[in-house]
Amino acid sequence: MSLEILTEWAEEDRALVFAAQSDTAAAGQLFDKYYPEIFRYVYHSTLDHAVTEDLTSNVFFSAFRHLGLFRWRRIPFRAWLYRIATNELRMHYRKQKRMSAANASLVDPEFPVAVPSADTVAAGLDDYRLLQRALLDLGQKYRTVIVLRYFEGKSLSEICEITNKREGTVKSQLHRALAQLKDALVLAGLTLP
Amino acid sequence: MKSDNERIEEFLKGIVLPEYKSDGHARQLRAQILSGLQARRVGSRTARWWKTAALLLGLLGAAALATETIIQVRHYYFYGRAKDGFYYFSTTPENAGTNQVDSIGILVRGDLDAAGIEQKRKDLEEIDSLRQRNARELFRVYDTEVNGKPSGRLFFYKYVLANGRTEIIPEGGDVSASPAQMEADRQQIADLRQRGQREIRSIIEVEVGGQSQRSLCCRYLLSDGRGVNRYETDPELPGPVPLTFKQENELSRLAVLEKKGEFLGSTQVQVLGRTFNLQKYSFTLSDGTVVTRSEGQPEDPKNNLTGADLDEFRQLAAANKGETLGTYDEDVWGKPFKFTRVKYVLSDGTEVIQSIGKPGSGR
Repeated sequence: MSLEILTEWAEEDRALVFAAQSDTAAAGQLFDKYYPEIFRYVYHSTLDHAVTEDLTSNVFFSAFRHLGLFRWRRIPFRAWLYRIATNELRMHYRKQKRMSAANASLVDPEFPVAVPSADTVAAGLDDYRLLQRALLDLGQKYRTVIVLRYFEGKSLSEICEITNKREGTVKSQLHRALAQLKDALVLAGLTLP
Repeated sequence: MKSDNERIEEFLKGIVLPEYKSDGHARQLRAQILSGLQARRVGSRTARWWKTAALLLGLLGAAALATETIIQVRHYYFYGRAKDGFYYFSTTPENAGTNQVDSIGILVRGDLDAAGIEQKRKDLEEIDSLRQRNARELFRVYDTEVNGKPSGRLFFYKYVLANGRTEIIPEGGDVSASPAQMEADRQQIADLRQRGQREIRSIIEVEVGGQSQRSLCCRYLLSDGRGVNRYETDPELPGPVPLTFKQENELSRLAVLEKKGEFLGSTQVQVLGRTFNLQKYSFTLSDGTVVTRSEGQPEDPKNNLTGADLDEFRQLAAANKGETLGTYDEDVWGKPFKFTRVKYVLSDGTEVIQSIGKPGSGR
């Protein structure tokens, strides 16, 4: 996203968040605007329907409960939501820590997939399952930057806002995350392009 | 040749991401969040309104017991004149919520023109400033019991204003407390509430559009003898009622200040094992909303004076028609006071004992 669009988006959010503190209709608009992408982020991080719904609920309950505490100067609203979601995910993974990657029910066989080719779907899903398992072997901070960068398409500056890290730190984490992920995938028998 | 990281990046970019949507979850969560926000807004507005009403009612009692009235704090504005002749001043909305109560209400008795009202408003601010600096003299302490039940201590302070005038201010409950004192009071009240050490002095029920809310006026006696009122929602009828802040203010003005309701009759309700006699009134707000408001006290024992009781009590006290029961010494805020205990009996048999403490002692 260009800087101009981001600024415009942030300004629109500023008005919406302000209105949402006293106007239920504005709060509804704010929810509608961000629910899909936060839900998607949580789902891509967990691949579990029930967990996704629970964690997304926690994110929005927490955000709307503390709407009055949100400070614009520090962070855009969208990044704030992602930060809450990331924190929810971290707590979720902490609870799941003792479970082995193999036992973790990462993949829900019933999830619908919106892609054109059946072959592509099958191959893609296999790759994704493999990738998910490999991601679980990574530390939380590495998993977060991978998901945000490659699954959610966030720019480096957006990841910096969400993770509250400097660009150099995020770049470094991404570099290390990719290296560790490659090792894990190769170990799992995946042939890289 | 591509580096390992370039290859893994290429792999990641080629991943087909699974998608999952749950319209049911979105709808349910949206509804939960919005209804929660709505409830909190209505709840907080309602709480503000109850607190304002509580202060107003509390001050009515304090004002009637005192020979002169007023009380405290910050920037004031003139709210209106009550039907019974009191002038009601309140702190500005900007100060609301800073001290656990959302506004401080002051009742002033007298006959004031526009200039007099403005002068009184300025006096209140000057007095508040003097209070913050403790530039005042405690010269009377009043303890009152109704049928053996203490109703809380009143402290009478003397303030000398910049123009040389002297104001006598009865301060009791929490309206005279500093922010730090209010916070300490809040903790003490929470503790008393947890231990069930409160007295329900009256209840108020409001009904709008088929929804009802009951508030309990709870009296807490603090360790230093002060009595404070807190309006608390009855869990059996928690509401909230669908009134906007503006509507609540209008209702408060109509019911408490102007007393412009249509009397619908009396009724009795059982609350926490006690019978309360309620007087029910109907109010029509300026936007056409019809609100039913009932208010009442416990049937017995009587330990709270009504407005008529207070008038009768004042007349008895002014005419010295009480029976002196004795005297005793007590230190108040580190100063010795000599208290004289006098009993008055109202026409309905209600026994009021007032102890008035003056500086000095017989020790």
